[in-house]
Amino acid sequence: MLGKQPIAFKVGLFILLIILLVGVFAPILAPCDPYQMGTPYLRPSAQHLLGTNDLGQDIFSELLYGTRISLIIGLVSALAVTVAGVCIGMLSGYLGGWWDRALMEVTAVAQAIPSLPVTIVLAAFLSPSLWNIIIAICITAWSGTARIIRSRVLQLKELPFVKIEQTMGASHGYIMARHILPNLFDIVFVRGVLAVGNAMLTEASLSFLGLGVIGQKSWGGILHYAFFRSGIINGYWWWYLPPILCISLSVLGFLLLSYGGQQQLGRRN
Amino acid sequence: MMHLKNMLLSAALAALLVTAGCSAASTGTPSGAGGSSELTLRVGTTASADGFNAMTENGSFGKLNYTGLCAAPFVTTDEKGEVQPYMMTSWEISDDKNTLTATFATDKGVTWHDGEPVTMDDVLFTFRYQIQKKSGYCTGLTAVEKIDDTTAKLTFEDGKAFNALNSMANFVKLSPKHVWEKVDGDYKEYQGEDASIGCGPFRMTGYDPEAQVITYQSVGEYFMGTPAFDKVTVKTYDSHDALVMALRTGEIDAMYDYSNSLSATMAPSVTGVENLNPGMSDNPGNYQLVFGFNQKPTDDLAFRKAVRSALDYELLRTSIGGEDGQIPGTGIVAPPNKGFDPSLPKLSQDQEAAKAILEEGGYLDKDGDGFRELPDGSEMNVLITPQYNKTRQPLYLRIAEILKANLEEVGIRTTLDEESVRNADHATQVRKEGTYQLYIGYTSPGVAMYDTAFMYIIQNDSNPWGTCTLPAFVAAYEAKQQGRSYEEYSAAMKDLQAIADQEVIGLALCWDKAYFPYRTDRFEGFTNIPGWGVINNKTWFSVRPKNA
Repeated sequence: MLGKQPIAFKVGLFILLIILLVGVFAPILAPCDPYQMGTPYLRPSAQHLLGTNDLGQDIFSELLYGTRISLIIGLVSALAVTVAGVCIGMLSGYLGGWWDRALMEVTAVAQAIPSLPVTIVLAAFLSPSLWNIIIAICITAWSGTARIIRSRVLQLKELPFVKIEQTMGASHGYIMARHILPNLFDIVFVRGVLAVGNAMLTEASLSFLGLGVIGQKSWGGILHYAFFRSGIINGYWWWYLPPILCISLSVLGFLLLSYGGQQQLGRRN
Repeated sequence: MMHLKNMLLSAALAALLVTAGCSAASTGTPSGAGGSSELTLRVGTTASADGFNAMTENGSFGKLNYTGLCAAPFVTTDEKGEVQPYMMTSWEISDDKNTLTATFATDKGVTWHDGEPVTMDDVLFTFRYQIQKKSGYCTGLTAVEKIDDTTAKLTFEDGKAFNALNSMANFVKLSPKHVWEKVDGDYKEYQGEDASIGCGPFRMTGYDPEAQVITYQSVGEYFMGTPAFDKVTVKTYDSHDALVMALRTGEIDAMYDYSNSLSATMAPSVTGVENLNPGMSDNPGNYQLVFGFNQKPTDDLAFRKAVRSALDYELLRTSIGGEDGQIPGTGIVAPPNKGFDPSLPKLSQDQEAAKAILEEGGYLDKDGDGFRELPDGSEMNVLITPQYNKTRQPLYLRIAEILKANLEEVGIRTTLDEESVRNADHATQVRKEGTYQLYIGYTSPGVAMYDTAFMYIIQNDSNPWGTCTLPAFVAAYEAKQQGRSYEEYSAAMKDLQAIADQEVIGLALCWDKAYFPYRTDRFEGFTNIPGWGVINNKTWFSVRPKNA
C-alpha cells in the first residue's frame, strides 16, 4: 500500500516516524536527565554530544525530551483544530440557511483576527500550562479547515447518493456521519497534517518568547534560553542550531506528508 | 514533482537564512566620526528615549542625567563611592548631624542652557521642591535657608544630614526656578521645550525619533573643565545584543545603561575583540535571596540556616556571574562597597548539614512523600518569587530553577510564583504587602553604594521593600543611616554584615562583575567606575581624542 504513495509522502512519513520514535523513547535514548544541573557552557564532547546550557544541563537530552512536548502540543492542537473545523464546516455546508450564515460569520471573524498576535496575548493572559497553550493555539486555527470542509460538503450534498438518502427520510446526522464524513477523509487528512506542523511552529514561537510552560523542556524553550542567555551572540551553535533544525525538519515532514496526500487526492480525482 | 523541488529549495533557503541571522556578526572595522566635522562621542544604551523632562529620571535622557551630562548634580561620587563636590562645592555637618551648611557654585559663571545665570534662588527652589515631594534622596530634610549668595543651610531631622548627602549624590540635580515656577500642576507631566534645560556641560539640541538618537552640544568652557569633544549622541538599541554588535562594528564608542551592565554570559562576545575593552569592574550590586519574615517557615532561623546550607553556590556563581563571578560571603554586601567585611566566611553548600538542621528544627517528612512538613505537621510548600523584570526574567527564572532543585534535594517542597513572573501588578503587591517567602531580587550599583542590599531586607517607615524587624538589625541599620562620617558608616556596615551572618536575614547569590564595554580606537582617558562603566560624571572632562 505504501509503495503506491508519492515519494513526498514516504519521505515525510519517514521523517515523522523517526521524530515520533525519538519522542516515545526519549527516556531511553537520552544520555542524561535533562533537568540534572552540572557545569554550565560546556562545548560538545563525548560526554555531552551538544554541550551543556547555562545551568549545565545536557542539551542533547533536552532536545530529545523537547520532542515530546512539541509533538504532544502539535498533535493535540491539530486534533482539536481539525475536529472543530470539520464539525463547523459540515454543519454549515450541509444544513445551510441560518446555520450556514451564522457559522460562516463566526468563521470570517476568526479568519480576520491575526492568529499569532491573538495566540500570544492569550498565552500571556492564561495561566501557563500545557492545556492553556493548546487552547491559545486552537482558538483561531480552525477557521481555514472549516471553510474548506464547507465548500466540499456543499458539493457532496448535491450528489445523487445524498439526495437518495434524503428522499428515503434519513436523518441529517445519519447522512453526515455515514455518507458525508467518509468522503471528506482526504481533505481532513491533508488539513490535519498541516495543522500539526503549524501548531508545532506556534508552540515554538510562544516558548521562544518566554510564554511557554516555565521549566518544561521544549524546542522553543531551548531556543529561548539560547537567545536570552547569550548563546547566539557568543556563537554557541550547538545550543541554538539543533532546536532550529528539529523544528524545521518536523515541519518539513508534516508538509511533505500533506503534499503527498494532496498528490494522492489529485490522482484519485 | 516541480512543486516538491520548490518546497525543498524553499526549506533549505529558509534554514540558511535562519542560521545566517542567528550567527554572531563578525568584527568589522570602525566607522568614522559620524559624517560631521565636529568631534562626537557616540554612546549606546537600551533605555528608551521617551521624554526630555529634567524633573524625571525616565528613559535615556533621565538616566544620562545621573552622570551630569545635561543637568548638574549637587554632589557626585568617586570610584570608591565617596561623595565629591559638584554644584555643592563644600559643606560642613553640625555635631548633632541635623544641619548641613554648604556653599554652591553660584559664583562660577555657570548659566542655564537658555542663558540665564544660576543663582541661589535656583538652589533654594530645588531643595524646597525635594522637601515638598518628600524625596527619598533627601530623607529627613525639613528646611533650607539662604545665608548669602553662595551659602545655604539645610536642616534635617533624626541626624540624617550625612545620610542625605550620600543619598542625593548623582541623583538630585539643580533645577531652574525661572522655568519651573511657571509650570502649573505636576512638574513631571510638563512637556514644554524648556523642560530639558539644565546647567550641565552639554545642552540637549535635538532628537531623531526614527534613528532613536538624542544629540547634545558642548557648552564650551565649564567650571568643572572643558570637554575635549563637541557633541554627544545617545542612541537607543532594542537589546544588549544589538548594542554589542554596534560596538563591535564601531557604530558607537561606549555603552551606558544605568544599573544594567551586560550580563556575564555576554562577556565572551566583548572579550578579545580588536579595539574593544570589555569594561569589566567589580559590581557593587548583587543578586540576592531575601527571606520573608512575615511568613512561615522563612521567619524561622533554623529554616533560613538550612536554606543557606542547601544552595549550590558554585552553580549560582557561574550561572549569574560566569567565569569572573565570585562565591559571596555570608555578609551579603559585595567587596567594592564601603565597610565591606572580608573576614566573614564564604557561602558553601553542605546538604547533609541542611538536612540535619531541618531535622533538629522539627521539619520532618511525616507522611513519607519525600517532602518535609512544618514542625506543627502541616504541609510545607515554599513559594519562590522572582522580581518582576522583563530584561532579567530569563536569569531570574534560571536562579529560581537552581533554588528549587537544591531545596527539593533536602526535602523542601517549593513552588515558583508564576503570577509574579508574568504580572507586574501582582509582583508589586506581593512585595509591598510582604507576603513573599523566598524573594529573588537585585541590588543596583547605585543603591549598593550607600543604601546597600539591606534596604531590601529591613521593614521600616521609609522602606516598603523588606520584612525584617529583628531589633539588632533595625538598630544597626539606623546607626548606618545616622552616621556622620564614612568611619561611622563603615562600623555600622560591619555590624549589619555580622548580623546577616548570624541571623541569615538574606543571602547574596553571587558577587559578579559589571561589563560596560567601550572602544579604544577614537578616544582615551575613560575612567571605569565600578557598576557605572566609563560613561560617568568624569567622562565629560577627562575623555579626549586618541593621539590628540
